[in-house]
Amino acid sequence: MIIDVTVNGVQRHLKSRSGDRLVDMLRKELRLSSLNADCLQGRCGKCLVFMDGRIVHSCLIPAFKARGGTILTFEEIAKNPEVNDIEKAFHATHTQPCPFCHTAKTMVIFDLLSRVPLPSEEDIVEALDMVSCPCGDPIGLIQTVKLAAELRNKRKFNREA
Amino acid sequence: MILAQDLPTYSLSTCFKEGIPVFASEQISYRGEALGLILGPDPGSCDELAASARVDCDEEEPEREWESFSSSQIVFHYSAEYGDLDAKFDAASIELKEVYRNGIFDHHYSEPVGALAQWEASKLSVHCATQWPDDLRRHLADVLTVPESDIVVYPTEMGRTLDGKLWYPSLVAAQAAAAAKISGKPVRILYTREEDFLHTTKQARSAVSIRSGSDDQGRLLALDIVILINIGAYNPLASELIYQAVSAITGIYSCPAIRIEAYAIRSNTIPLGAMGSIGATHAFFAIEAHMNNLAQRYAKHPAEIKALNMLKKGQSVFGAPGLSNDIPFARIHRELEQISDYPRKYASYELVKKRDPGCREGIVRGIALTLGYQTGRSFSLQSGGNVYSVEVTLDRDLRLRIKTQAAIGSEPLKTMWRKTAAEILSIQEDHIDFLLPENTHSLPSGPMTLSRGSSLIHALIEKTCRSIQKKRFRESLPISAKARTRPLKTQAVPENLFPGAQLFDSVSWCGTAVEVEIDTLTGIPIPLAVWMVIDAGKIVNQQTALASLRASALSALALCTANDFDPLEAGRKDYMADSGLRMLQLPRIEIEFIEPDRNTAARGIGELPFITIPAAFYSALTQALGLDPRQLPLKGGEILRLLEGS
Amino acid sequence: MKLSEVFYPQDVEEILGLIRKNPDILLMAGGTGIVGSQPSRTIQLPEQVASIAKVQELRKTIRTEQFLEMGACTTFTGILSLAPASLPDPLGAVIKSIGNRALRNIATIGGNLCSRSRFLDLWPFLSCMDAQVEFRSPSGTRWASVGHLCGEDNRPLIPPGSLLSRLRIPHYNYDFVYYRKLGNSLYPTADSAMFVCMANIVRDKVEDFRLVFSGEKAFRLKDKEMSVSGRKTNTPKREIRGLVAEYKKSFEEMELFDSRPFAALLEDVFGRLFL
Repeated sequence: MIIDVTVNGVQRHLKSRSGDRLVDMLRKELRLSSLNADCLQGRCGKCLVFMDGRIVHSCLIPAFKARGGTILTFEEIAKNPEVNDIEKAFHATHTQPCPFCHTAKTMVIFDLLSRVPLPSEEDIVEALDMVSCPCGDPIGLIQTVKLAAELRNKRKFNREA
Repeated sequence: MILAQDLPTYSLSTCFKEGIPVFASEQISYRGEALGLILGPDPGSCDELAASARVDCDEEEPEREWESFSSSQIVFHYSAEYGDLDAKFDAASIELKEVYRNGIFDHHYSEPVGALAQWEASKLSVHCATQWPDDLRRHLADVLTVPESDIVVYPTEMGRTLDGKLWYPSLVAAQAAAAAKISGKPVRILYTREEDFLHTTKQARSAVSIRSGSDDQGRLLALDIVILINIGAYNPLASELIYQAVSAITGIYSCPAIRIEAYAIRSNTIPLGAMGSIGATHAFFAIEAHMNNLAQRYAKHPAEIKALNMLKKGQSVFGAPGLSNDIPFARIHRELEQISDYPRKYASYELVKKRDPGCREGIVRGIALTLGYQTGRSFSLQSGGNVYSVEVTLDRDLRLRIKTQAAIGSEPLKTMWRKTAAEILSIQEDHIDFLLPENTHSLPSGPMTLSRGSSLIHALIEKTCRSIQKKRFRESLPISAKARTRPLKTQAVPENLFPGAQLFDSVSWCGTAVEVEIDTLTGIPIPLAVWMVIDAGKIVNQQTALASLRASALSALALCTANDFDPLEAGRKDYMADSGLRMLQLPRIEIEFIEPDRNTAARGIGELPFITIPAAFYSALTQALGLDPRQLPLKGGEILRLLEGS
Repeated sequence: MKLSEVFYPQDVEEILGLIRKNPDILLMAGGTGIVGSQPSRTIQLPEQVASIAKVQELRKTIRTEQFLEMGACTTFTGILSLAPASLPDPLGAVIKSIGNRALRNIATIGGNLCSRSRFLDLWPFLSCMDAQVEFRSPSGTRWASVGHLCGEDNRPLIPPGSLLSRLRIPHYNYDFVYYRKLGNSLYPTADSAMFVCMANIVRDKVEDFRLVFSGEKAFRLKDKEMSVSGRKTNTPKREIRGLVAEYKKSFEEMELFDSRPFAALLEDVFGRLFL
């Protein structure tokens, strides 16, 4: 079947079969390498995308359900200056994620900061719970998110000022 | 479809030297062993074809038993004896014999196993996530009867491997390479996470029997130890597991007479092997649990019994040269007590246990301290096991290129090495690039494991950068320098000599305290906090070290709370149930280094959480329960049963 | 791979039309339960599937003084975005404990109640709260108590050939609410279960006592609940022990699950309720 869907701002007509997952369709048809179909259970987070504005596990969504929807992947999100703040924070706190969860962790932090500009520790833990990878130092990651929020707010404030 | 019989050119050499077939042919050794490959244009088509394939075979009773094994199941045996064991047991006031069992655990590494192989004429290129590219190439050359010079291995970027990708990727790469040769097309094999969980290597299970004899004060007089490590159907690192376990179990406590027998035992289950500490976890768990039991028999504090028996300067076991320094037990212990509030907590939990032995009311908690160490090298004599090399070039534009196979290492490690190189050469950190050697095998390399590799490579980078710094104002750029570690001499592991004794000058020491609470409704043990005090010489980058240790501490805790993996019964439900520790359930983790800025060589620290945390977790659990179940992991239901029976 | 026919109905009438033609059609809202339980490369689906998540009628929320009414395709995040005061206690906390945020962004309340393989987290709560669900089928519409979505074999009973369209939860907060989730925290497994108990305390008396324990099967004994209701909170311990023992005995006789955690939870809840 053909699925009409907007991916990263471009209207697409993607080939898919009824049993395909969204993550597989996006990887196969559009070669979006930021996505990984790993645990297929919605716990590792390596397939996170924004669908219709909400962060979701694309491994848990049959490709056909994306019809008429809007998908944003890391490839598009990475164009936002917020991602620079997050990168800087990763670097400063020595918590650079491994190549397999880097995009996932960036996505969840991006999602959190766009919803809650000054997140509490509880908010941060809830957000980071969407990604599970053994590379992570969770305590350091909490600091990363706090720093990323600080950098983001500073940048936004300065610009507005 | 490609099966073992389709590989006539390779015939018997389809086996690894250790007897591991690329595809099972006459006998299937474990559930999940590859019989062949179904090739297709995409995974979906392969699944379709696989669904219509049928395997006919005669079923035989699998070899499940391993604790009482037959001689044909022994893959590796090590034995050593020192002192007059019988006389010392005769002189002992207390004799204590217990068996400690460790279950099977999944590694939970960052990405599942996979390989991509492609032939161009007689040249083979392989992309594979492996901790040991050199070894993979050697295996491929062996299996495919191709000269090593015709094989190029491109190690792909990896996440955290937890030592789960030491040798198994070689097998998958060999399968892909054989299939690519026959089909004439590039072949990619990529396990799903569920397949990886069910059918690839896990941490080996063990049964460690310790019989000790001690005098009226609690001093050890004799130790009679039998270590059994079940390696499943295959494991080329069986000898390494045994050596590490032997070294760990006899490495801390002084004892005038020791007999040790250690066996790697084969059974019809998935290959079981290294994880985190390569054998040492089993041994430290057993010896620490035994020392706790001993303390209970003497009605003494565990720390008191441990301090009494700790090896001291000049002492040794197995007739090895005496220790050149005291084990920093007292200092580590003091600092650990301080940060964990151990004495107060230990005493109050003991009091609670006395008042409420069945844990019917109130909070059920326990706290324990353990000491462990990590060695920086491997013992077995596999080619290249301890060899690492680095080639560094400073270019005219002041960019530094560091060529090493460790370029596959983690980003935090590379950050640490960049910092060192930048400091020595006074260049910017972002002017330093890590490259794999053009011919990945021009620089030999041992495995990049949690302990091995990183500290050695750091020393080599330091050495080569200093060499360039000396020359840079006398010679014109670019300047290159190479360095490599010396391979272990064959007499490094002499017959019947305890191998650990030679290593005390290069080990990292670690004291760990773990506090555990038991949910009395479900029996589930919940780790509340972990404190670690580490003496590992100079810590090059403390933040990187802390981040790495905290991540490893969580993985080690996940081992203690995981479901025991039953390889004969495991299925989808076990995969679904295996979620590990979640961000929402994080314990408190505090780590301190002893004099991290002192001017000594950097030592490995990555394995320390795997070595000390299971032992401390278990001991804390026994305090909370007031019982000694002598096994890890323990499911909530089992703990409830134990509490009911108490 | 066996291919399925996929439909995208735009409204409830279209869904009912599809059900009329094929009562076995799979109505998929979030799909997290169906997809998440198949960690293989391709998802196995029945011959016909209808994607209903975007049907607006099934996503509406209505608040009145008496109840909160939600369309079956309301996502958990959608529920959590309602004002906290409009959610009866402890619904918000329970929903927050389900999966992680990304999962809650797609999982729906209807999907949680329509699981055929086991009772998921919301059923015992909604059952205790006397919530009602609306089922629509080609033959008509009917309301049923959530508690009735349990068959005689103590397993989930979802009327075939019908659409769970709405859920109505009475606006009522109990004085005593106790719940424990057992087993895997992310995905339900064989040993996952939910223990829920609610009651009111009126003039030192326990009223409206209700207790549900559910996992692959469900346990609720209304006669036992009646025998607890009406007792004083200072009922002698011996009497309470007798009640607990009776409850345990009934539970064991039904041979539903491992009785050990149930017994421990029962003792805990009675210990708290009867001081």
